[in-house]
Amino acid sequence: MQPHSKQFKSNVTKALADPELQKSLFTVKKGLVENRAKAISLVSDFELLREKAKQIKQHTLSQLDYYLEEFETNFTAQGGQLHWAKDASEAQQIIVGICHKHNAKTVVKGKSMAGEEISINEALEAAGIEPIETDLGEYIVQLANEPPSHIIVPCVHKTRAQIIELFAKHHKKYGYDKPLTEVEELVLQVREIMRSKFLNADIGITGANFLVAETGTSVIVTNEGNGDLCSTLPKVHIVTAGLEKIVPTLNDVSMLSRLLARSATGQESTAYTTFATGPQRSDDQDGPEEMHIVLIDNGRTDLLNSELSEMLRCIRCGACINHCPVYGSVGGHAYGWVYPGPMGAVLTPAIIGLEEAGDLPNACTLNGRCETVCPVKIPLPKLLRLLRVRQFKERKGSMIWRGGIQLWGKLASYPVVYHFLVNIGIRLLSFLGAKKGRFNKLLLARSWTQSRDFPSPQGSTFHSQWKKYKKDHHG
Amino acid sequence: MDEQNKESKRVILQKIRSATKSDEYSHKDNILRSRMKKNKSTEIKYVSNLDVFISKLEQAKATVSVVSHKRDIITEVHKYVSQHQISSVITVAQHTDFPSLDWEGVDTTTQYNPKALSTSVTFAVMGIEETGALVMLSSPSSPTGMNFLPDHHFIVLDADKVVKTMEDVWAQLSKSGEPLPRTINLITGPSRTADIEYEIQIGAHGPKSLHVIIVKNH
Repeated sequence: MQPHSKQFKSNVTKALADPELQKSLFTVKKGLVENRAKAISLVSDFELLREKAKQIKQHTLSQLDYYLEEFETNFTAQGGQLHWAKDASEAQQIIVGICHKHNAKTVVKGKSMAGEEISINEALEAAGIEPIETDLGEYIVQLANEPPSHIIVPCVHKTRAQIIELFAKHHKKYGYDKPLTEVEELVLQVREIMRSKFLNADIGITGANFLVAETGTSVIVTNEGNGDLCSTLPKVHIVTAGLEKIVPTLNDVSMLSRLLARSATGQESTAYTTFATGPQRSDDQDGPEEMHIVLIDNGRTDLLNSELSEMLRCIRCGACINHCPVYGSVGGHAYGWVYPGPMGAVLTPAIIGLEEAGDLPNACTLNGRCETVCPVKIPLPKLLRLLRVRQFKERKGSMIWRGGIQLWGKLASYPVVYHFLVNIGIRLLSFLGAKKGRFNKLLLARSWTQSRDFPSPQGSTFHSQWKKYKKDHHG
Repeated sequence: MDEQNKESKRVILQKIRSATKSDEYSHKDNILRSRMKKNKSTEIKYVSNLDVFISKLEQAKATVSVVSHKRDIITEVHKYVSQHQISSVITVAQHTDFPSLDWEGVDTTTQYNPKALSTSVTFAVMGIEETGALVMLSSPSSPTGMNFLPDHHFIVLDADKVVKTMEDVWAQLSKSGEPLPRTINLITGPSRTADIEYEIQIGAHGPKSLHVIIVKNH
């Protein structure tokens, strides 16, 4: 998809003023956060699991070339075909090529963020092939002609009323004209429509949660069962996967899967975890005749070679997104590309470049919740800070912004002057705001006061309070 | 492998090697193989009390019944279909542990037809206590579609085959030295979605109901 991360600020203004979006974000955010907390409280030593998971991913990244080749050897030994794709356009070419070879007209798809990243739907449509999203959330955003707004719950931004309207409009052609009201009816209708699509599609495309080097296996972790129908029924199965999905062994998958579902949806385990190793075997009654895996680089090797390399540990659980106060206020579309939230604010500049990513590294309050919940301990706030430094060094962002930062930086290196000026500023603000206790308009802080009030300072600065505290307690 | 693929592979691996400061001839093969080997558990931990396993399945909205003889499987299926007014033909997979089930009185077939499959009976090779998962292996007589296409799904499991963790499954499967089957499905409950307003709805694209029959003293 075309990135529009550069318009982050105007996207945010729109999102904050959208009452439907605010309603959806609230329900889901609350549910996902509470469910995760509950699931984790039932594990005796979750911190130990996080440390182990981090080590598995870190070890794999340190020997990535070896494990990729090991995977290739074992996957091809089972009759699979591995394709290496340097970037999005090469991955598109490979996939469209496979579809053409089989004269494919329709493709059923399971959810794949790597697929979103390489804009595979646009490429298929341009080649005259119909991509059909089968994951309920992905199907809904496809009908609405929108990108997903969350990596786990693609349509979290949609209310039930909006979905009812969408189905009424698009399902008439299948003979459904009774208006629906219940979630159960909505789900059932999509199930019915999708069944014949699964049975008649020429090709199935899914993502992968893990690629296992020791056995050449591709693993997907799902709840709906659509991914399995995509990988079982059509004659050809194509997997799109970023090359960081590789893990050494099946036991490593076992360890990582203890964290994945709990962190993502708060489930102890999803309904389905599927291990697919190559195409169908002789005498099998189903399974694809050909299995292809497209291994996507698209900026990942550059990421590995940078100070942001820890980002490659990411297992795409979405916990950082669910716990991010910025995402919780503005939703996923504001981020303007495939990956939203903290992980998106790091991945977007890493994949499409700092220029295209615009303000994303600044879309963060550095509150640190994302790092605390990350199952593979990625120091997201640190990575965002590094990106800000890079942004400043490369002279990105507006003159006023850079000038402001520079001025602040200068001042902060002279503590005496800095404290003196801050003290004056605080006194002035508390004097001006004494009556109302808040400001609804403030010089230089218009974007703050546009959507909320600025509280007027109470009493003295933290610094002078700290000084006083130390004096009182330690003489 | 075509030329473009070879070239892309070369470029990608080269970039990785320059990032990780390794080269293709460094003697990591042994070190890493020994990690892969060490990573294997050898002792398989079976579970004798199935309470936790069953409660995990029930949490995941599966229904479970425990029977004491394999002929009771048929009685159980019969009971379930009449209770739930399921009238379709039942497609039954084959499994070596249960070679000769006499399905008299129940309308069954062993013919696999993806286009007309609304109820099925398949056999798990193991259960996992930690997650309540049933371990399903694909084979010519047990195609994967039988686990995902039906509206109503029955899974039969031998009570002696429940292990502690997923690692125990790998230890058991690697005993034979054979490569993995084409598909291994770990199944915990019927299919579900929470994509609309985060309301959990049972029965998305896969089975709407899962009834597990655990056979003791098999």
